Amino acid sequence: MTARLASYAWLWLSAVMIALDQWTKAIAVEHLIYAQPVPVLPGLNWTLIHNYGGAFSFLSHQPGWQKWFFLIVASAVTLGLMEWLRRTPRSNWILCLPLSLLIGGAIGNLIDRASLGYVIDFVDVYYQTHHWPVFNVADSCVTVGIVWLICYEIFSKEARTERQNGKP
Amino acid sequence: MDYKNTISLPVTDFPMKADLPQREPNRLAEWAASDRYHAIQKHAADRPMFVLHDGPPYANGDIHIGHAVNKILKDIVVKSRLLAGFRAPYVPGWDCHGLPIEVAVEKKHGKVGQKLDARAFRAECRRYAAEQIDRQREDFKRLGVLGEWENPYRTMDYAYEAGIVRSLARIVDRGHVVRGFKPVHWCFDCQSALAEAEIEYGNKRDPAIDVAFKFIDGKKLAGAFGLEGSIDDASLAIWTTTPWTLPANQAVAVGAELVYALVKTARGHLLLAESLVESCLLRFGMSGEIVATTTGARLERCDVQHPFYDRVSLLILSDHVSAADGTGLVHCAPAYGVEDFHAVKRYSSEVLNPVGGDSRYAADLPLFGGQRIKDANPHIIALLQERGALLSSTEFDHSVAHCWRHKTPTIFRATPQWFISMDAASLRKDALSAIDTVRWIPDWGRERIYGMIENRPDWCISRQRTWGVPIPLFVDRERQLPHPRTGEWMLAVADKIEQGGIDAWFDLDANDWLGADVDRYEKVTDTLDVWFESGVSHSAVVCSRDNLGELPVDIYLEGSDQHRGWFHSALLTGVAMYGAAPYRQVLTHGFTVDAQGKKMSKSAGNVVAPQQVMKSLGADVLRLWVAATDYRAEMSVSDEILKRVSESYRRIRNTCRYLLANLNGFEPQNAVALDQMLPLDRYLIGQAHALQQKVIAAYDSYQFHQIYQDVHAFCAIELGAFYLDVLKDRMYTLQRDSLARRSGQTAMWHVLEALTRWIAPILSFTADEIWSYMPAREHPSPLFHTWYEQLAPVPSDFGLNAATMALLMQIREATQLALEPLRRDKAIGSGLDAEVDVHLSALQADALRPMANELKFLLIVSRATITTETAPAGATVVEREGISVAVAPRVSVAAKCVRCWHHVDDVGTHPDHPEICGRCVENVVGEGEVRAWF
Ligand SMILES: [Zn+2]
Ligand SMILES: [Zn+2]
Repeated sequence: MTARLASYAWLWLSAVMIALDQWTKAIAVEHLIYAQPVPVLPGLNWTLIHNYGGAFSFLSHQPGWQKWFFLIVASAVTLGLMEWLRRTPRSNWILCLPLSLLIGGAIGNLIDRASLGYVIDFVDVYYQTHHWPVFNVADSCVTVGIVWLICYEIFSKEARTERQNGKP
Repeated sequence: MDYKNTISLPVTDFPMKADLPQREPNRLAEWAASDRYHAIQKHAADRPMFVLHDGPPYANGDIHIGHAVNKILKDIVVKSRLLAGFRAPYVPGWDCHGLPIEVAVEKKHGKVGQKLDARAFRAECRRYAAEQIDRQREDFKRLGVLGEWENPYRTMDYAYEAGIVRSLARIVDRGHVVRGFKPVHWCFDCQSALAEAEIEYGNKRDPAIDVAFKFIDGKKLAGAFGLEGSIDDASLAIWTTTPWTLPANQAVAVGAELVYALVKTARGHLLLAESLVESCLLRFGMSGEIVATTTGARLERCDVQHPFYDRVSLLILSDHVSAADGTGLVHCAPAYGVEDFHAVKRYSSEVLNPVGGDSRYAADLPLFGGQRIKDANPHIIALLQERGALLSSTEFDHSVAHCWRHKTPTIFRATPQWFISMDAASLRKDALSAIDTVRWIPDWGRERIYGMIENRPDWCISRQRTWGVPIPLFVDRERQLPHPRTGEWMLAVADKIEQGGIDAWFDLDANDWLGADVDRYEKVTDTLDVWFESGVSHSAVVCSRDNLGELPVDIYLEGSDQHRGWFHSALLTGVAMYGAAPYRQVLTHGFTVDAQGKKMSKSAGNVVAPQQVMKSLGADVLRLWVAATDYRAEMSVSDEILKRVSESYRRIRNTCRYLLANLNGFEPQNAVALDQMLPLDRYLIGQAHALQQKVIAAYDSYQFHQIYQDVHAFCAIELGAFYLDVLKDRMYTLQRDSLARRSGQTAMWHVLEALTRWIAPILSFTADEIWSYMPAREHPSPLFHTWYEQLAPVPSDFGLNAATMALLMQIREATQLALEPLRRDKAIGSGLDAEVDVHLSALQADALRPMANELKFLLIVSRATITTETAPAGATVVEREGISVAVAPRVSVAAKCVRCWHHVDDVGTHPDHPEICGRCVENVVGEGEVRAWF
């Protein structure tokens, strides 16, 4: 049993990311005025935004629905990722690391949706007049996790192919 | 090349068609699911309070348009106070006790004591009222009214019933309640006293007779006229339409200042008012001459003989006598007339009251004992005839008080009742001075209620009903005075009522309280006037709930009939309890009438039922009608009027939709700071700021029709006919992220943020719908927010100052007029097929020099050239305040750019893009066009 759940130790990383995410969001809510950018560096503002649905704009004006839609999808994805993590050996950090980041990121935003009905975003990156959609620490974890996993899949496939090709 | 993808056309999912009857219920479900009322209250918990205290509608029957108007106005006030930064709770209420519910229950279960005993009858009344409340509640919620619907106040709640008793205890304690025999409106069918508010007036035919009363002391009478000797054959004459009151006659009143004449006739001397001698003699069929005259004051106590009983009737002075009709002398039966009562009281404390509550004379009354009073009239007239006291007898049609329930005539009848005395503890004086601490809207409300309080008699608060809150007293059987421990006991009873409802008093065993005194005291079974019950809601609700702040509340808002109703009873109880009015402001609205100003009735077929409007047009259209109508006068409504309102609704909705469509792809991080904005956009922000100031002021002073007019004009004229029209080119053809386009989007975003707040108190469903499409909204509804703070007036050194803007608008008007004939002749399709020369004075030209290059965008033509040359003969001139501008148009001969539709000379100069103009090339493949002004 203990051996089976060994890779759950990686959830400590998820927990750290969740804490970091919620802490930064709390600071943003405390110090920022809604939708009023605070310049930090050239190309970076802190801009507090409430995200009710974002990408799924068709849901964002269906009153009430989007909250449940996102809650259910995010919960399902989190459970799936945890199962994946459980089946991965604890020492396989190349896979465990992105999985635990993804879990942390998903839960970070899930907490917002469940308690507030929206997600708190505040990182506003831009170049001249072109703005990236405003995001937060949880989004960063998810993005890094996904990119990592994609790279991992590509490289491991190449490695497999090479190994197979290399066989006499 | 296809340039479609290089153009940013407006896109939104926000539906053009409102479909309010279908969509509104979904939004109500969402408000219920997210507990919107409490979410807002929680959000606003730290704000200052603004309390609109709800006047309770009567819990009987479905709501009609008047109810809808009242609740919508309240909702507009509450929501606008939320937006103004207050915490504005709203606890709706219902008035539950009283006769109409008893009558409804009687219809099904018979009168009390027939099938049901009083306790079971009250239980039925309670059940019936609860059902009615449920029906009304659904309809009120459907109107979009936000409030604590799941926890309203009901005057039949045990806690409220206890609150009524506690309020009464306080009023008793402060010395305002007195026991008295007084004539009150009495309905024989109700077998109960009626309140002034339960009285209607209707016509009735009554006998009208003149009756002679013989003077007792001829010498005293002669003396009153300054005559020598004695006049022994003299009588006075009275005129009455209520012969049945003659057995209770105790006096005849004369006016102290009036002149009376002694008239010598064939049947002896008659006393009449001098001015009425001729008409009286004519009526009596007599001739006579005036022997002497005197003033009423000198006739005091020249007493007379009752016409058929062996007793004396006093001759008294009273202010209520006039020489307008009759004989100028008034027969007084103090038990059956308020004025008689007050007049006789000064001479005698005795009140003869031979008529029982069942309309029969007491059995021991000589001559007429046991007869019904309406049957007795002919017998009395016959007896007068027989005794030679009848001077004339006819019939008379007049307007008399009727019971509102039974439509039968009521009488005044002296009964033992409880009163709130207007003067015993200076209630009248204190109430009158409290009136001036209140702001009355409209201001004639003050005069109305002042007059009513100034002239009203004592307030009879007792009723003899089953479904009402008891007056829980033990009184001395003989002297009818309350038990010495009354104050303490009433509070104890209130605690019992809080546990078990009003039955706790009716079931209470007097022995438990009175002990040895049980034979000396009796338990009062009277109930309270329902106006008292609702009147004390300031105590039973506002002071008893912990979320409604303190008295006085900010506002009471009801129909204009409530100066005699709820405003009145709340003021009197408030002053009686705390020495102050329970409210700071009182707002009244007019009644609802049809388009011709006629009252609505089923028979006239002009009834507009709110339930029907919900199904056909939706609540927001009804709400807009309420806001658009000046509530200070009568409020006209008809299907036709509502149809017109729904057209205005569409205008506002479509403006918002177009703003949303232009905000496609815009998020707050794309916003441009105010000082970076293009001047035209900045100008719009200034306009919106000015309008918001007006809107705020109008909401603060409850002038909702002003808001409707201003906001509608802003949508139709400022935005629709000008700004949004001018911005099309910039929105569609410039690069998505360009400063100029983002500037325009920022202006539209700010305007929509503000506009949605302005309409949110009125168009609550639509505002929430718009809000759900708003880029990155902070809260789920505009009602969580306060008035928009990102608007600002233009700075003082602003390039597009008022004078420049006026000149530009004048040029725009001239251009549109100038293009009209070309358009009519099909020489041009749109303004972009034309060019204009704008002829200005040198001074004007200088003022516009910096923006000359972009003027064509403001005028929406392909070229606009400013010139100081004299205008040609055909030019269109527009003059305003002595300043004139001239515009000369012509059809453009340049090639048309397929992308922006401007006719420009440089179309085709770029080898890769032969179909488009240089500006478009810059926008498609270059760095992007730069705009400095428009
Ligand atoms: Zn009646
Ligand atoms: Zn072009």
